[in-house]
Amino acid sequence: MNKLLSIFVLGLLTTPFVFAQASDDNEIRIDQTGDTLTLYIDQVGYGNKIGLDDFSSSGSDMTIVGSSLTFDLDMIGNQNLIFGPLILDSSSLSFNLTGDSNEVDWNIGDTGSSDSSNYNFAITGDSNTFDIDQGKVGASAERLDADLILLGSSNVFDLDFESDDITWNFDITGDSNNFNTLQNDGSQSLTVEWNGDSGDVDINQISGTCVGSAPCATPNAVINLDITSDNATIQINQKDSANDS
Amino acid sequence: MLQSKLIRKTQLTIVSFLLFASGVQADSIGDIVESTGIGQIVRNNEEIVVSGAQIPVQLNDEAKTGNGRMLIEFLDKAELALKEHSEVLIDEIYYDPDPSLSKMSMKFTMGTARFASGRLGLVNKANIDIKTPTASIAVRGTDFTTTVDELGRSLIILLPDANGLPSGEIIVSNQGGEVTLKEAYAATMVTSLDQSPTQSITINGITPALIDNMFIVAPPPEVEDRIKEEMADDAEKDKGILDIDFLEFDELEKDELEDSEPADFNELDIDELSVEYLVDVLDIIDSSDLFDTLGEFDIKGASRGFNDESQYNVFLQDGNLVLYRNINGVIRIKISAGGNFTLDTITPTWEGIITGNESEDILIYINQVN
Repeated sequence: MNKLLSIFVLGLLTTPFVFAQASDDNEIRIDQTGDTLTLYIDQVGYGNKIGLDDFSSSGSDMTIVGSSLTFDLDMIGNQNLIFGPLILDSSSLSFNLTGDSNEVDWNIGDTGSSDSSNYNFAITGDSNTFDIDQGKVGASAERLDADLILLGSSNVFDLDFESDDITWNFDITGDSNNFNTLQNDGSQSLTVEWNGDSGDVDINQISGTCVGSAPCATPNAVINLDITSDNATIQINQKDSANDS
Repeated sequence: MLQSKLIRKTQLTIVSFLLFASGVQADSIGDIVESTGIGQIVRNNEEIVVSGAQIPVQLNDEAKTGNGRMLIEFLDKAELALKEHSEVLIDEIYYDPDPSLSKMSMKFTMGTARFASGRLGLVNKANIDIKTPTASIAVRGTDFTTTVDELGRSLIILLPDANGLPSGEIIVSNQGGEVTLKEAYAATMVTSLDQSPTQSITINGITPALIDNMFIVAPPPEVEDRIKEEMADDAEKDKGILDIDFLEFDELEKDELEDSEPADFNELDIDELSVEYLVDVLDIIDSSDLFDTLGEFDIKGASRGFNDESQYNVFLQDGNLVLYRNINGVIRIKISAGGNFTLDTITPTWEGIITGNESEDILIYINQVN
């Protein structure tokens, strides 16, 4: 089994990395705390793990806590697993994945602030599963700008953003993709470009209340959906209320 | 004694008056130099038959012709020729050594008369005033005719000089406006005192000898045409403030956006303020009978433009169909060209289904809650 792991870590690290290796996989556990980190991870191969087997929000195998972080993760391969709790405040996350049957399960800002974040996902592959949660009621999560470009089929995405003032854009090209997204609280904007057959899209948008000031001065909800498909089911639930978030 | 003084004073006054009166009557301002047929001078309500002999013409004389003609030459060699059945009142004529103080005023009241200003220049042209019942004629050293009918309508024609050139200019004016005649045989017709003279028309194929009262019965065709044209123009123009029907003013009721062709409806035509937030659901009718064709889309349940019930704006954009709704949240759906779809919308104000191309390839369910 070919395993190539390349990790580039720049910046001030207050906690050392711990590397562990399973019998049949490369496994990476990251435990990092500190601000102004720039972290590059390039991973090529299959059957690799980042964050070990812990997919729960309380897992400790991939813990990144910091502010003003730049997290750049590139993965090429199949059947890779990425999971763990992230607390990224005022940070930039770039995740490029090329491969099939990969699983990503992230909780971002589950236990702390995830304000002013910028996420960019570029996925090419089939049968990938993504479960990403950002923000949490009770934790500060404001001003998120998220973008996703997916090229592939039969992918399953479940993306829940509970943050004030979200600009969320995704561009999907492929068949039989299943997409479920939630935007909760504040001012919400969603733009979808959907090209592909047999898609299943669930859009939940709850504008709620604005915690901060501008740009979320008043709650609103905007959905912009552009569809090219011979067969798709799209469910849009839009709730505009200051009392429901 | 006193009675004797009064009698003597009265006698002196009568003598003075008679002297003055005889002196005025004796001031000839010209002579009738030619006369044919029936003609007369009306002076102090006295009719003086003109029988060919030279008869002096005095102030306030009224020259009349029956079946005859008359030529009057004034002291300054100005000539007034009357054709059959014509009347001219010699209103004021004064000759002063200073031509600017001289004055000549006449009223052409009936028939056809020709006036040529005097060669001696005893009267400044600016002081020559010729009137008809409907117009005033200011003379600038000219020769012209007037033809006046019973209604006072006046046809004025500028005549040429001996060389065939325009004999000068005359300005014909009244309360309606004025027109200047500059060309030989240029003419204008004045139909009433407050109706502007017609524009200058040049009459072809006539000579001064042909101008007579027949122009009243049958005006030259150029004049007739001009009158008809201007009457038609007047009908198109403002008829006057009394003719304005202010109740017909409905400009403010015109909705330019509403009048625009639905085919032109695009994203810029969306009126965010036109949406209805308060709709009684019970009043919502089944809109499934709505049908429209937009490009490659046969739409049911909505039509191009803004749909009052569903509050959807429907339009084409680059061949794609766009459904836009902005009520308690913005939903904008763009279906690619030729796409088959069913859009099922449930909102607090409207529930309904919009289909495109009568198919369910793309199923969109929208549940919107306040």
